[in-house]
Amino acid sequence: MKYFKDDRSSVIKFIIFCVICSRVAMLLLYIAIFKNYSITDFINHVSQWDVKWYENIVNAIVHNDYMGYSHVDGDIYEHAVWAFFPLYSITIAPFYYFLSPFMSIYQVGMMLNVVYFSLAMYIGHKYIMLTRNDIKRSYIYIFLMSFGPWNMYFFVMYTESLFLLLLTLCFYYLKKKNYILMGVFGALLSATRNVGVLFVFVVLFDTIKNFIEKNQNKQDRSAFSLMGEYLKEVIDNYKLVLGTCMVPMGLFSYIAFLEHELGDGLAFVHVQAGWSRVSGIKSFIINIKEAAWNVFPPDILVTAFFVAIVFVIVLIKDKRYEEAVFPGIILIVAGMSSFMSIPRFMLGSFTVCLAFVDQLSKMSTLKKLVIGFFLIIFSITIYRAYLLGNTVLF
Amino acid sequence: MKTLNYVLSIIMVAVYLIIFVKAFDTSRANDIYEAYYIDKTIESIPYGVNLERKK
Repeated sequence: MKYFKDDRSSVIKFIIFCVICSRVAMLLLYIAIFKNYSITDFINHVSQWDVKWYENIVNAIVHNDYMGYSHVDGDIYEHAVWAFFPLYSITIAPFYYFLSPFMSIYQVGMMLNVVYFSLAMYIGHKYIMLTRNDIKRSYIYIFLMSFGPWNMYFFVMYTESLFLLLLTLCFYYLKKKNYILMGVFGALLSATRNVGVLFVFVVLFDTIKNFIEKNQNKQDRSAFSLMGEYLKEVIDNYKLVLGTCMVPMGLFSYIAFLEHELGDGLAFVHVQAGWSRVSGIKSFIINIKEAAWNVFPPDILVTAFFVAIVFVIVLIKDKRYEEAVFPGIILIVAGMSSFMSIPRFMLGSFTVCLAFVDQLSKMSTLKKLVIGFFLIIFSITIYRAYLLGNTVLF
Repeated sequence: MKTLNYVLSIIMVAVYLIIFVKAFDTSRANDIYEAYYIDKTIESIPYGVNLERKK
């Protein structure tokens, strides 16, 4: 009997099964810990931390007073919302506007996140079939993303689900060489989170890799000659040029908006001071030294950082340079500030998860089951810590 | 179609450069912050806390 069927209907059914079961599991675990059977209480409880920021932004949009709501309740937070890019909240606002008599803002956000995440899994499946042509990896990817550690970030009102969907679409259409659609989703990606603009480097590495593969027998040519030929090939591809130019549109639209409203286009950077965040090369070196030398045993966040580096190296070893560059740059950028949120950044970077699935797929069924079992246990531990407000793991 | 693509690309990049250069000029920010808040400047509000419109 064929367990991993590769027809569309079977994949969709599996996605729906995994998404629903994992979300129900989160509810059941909440009930088991708190002995509270109220679904409303569950939703309010898991909607913490950055969810409050997005709640404020959605309310600002619904009340058509985005900058007026820059004043956040001083009892909870003391600084403005500008660090949080607006696209995710913009997608929630119209649904909340019409559904608010029936549903809370958290419920609307979680409902949309389920849709975004499910779509992300389906596009991820299509990408895996396009690049790996292995239906088993597809099923493993869907299962691990649904039930794996830190999976609650794809359920609660965070940007992770939308960002993962848009990033997966960008990768998929890049590989399909549909550069205009890649640009459209890239623009939406950079309007969801500032790191989305880094996708231009993925395009760069993909074009270089394709060029090198095509010209492997031209090793007698000079580097300058090949570089000139590469530039000509890229520029001649007018759809590639336009698609790549579209990717930063989301980021620059937000900068232009902040410039118009505040006179400070980089307010989303300056506002970071409100979290006492310092960043830079010096900060990066200090963080690495602290993680690799001063702290032993390393905490979860540091461990996640180094595990992510390993999988980036694995992607490079497998010559998937265009897949390695996105998480690689995010690790460097994040490392310049702090290791907080590294796990969810890496899960949302898509290709690190693919690297893990690639390695897992090479193992025997028994090893897969053992690793899968321990990942589920770890996932329950992380989720329980989240419910109990343990900030060390995030 | 090809020409249109190139023209759009060049316009986009030009717009990005203009927006990027303007973003480093925060002189107008002080005026706007003052309109919204009483007496803080962009340097003293690193995070634009409690913006309230002047009545």
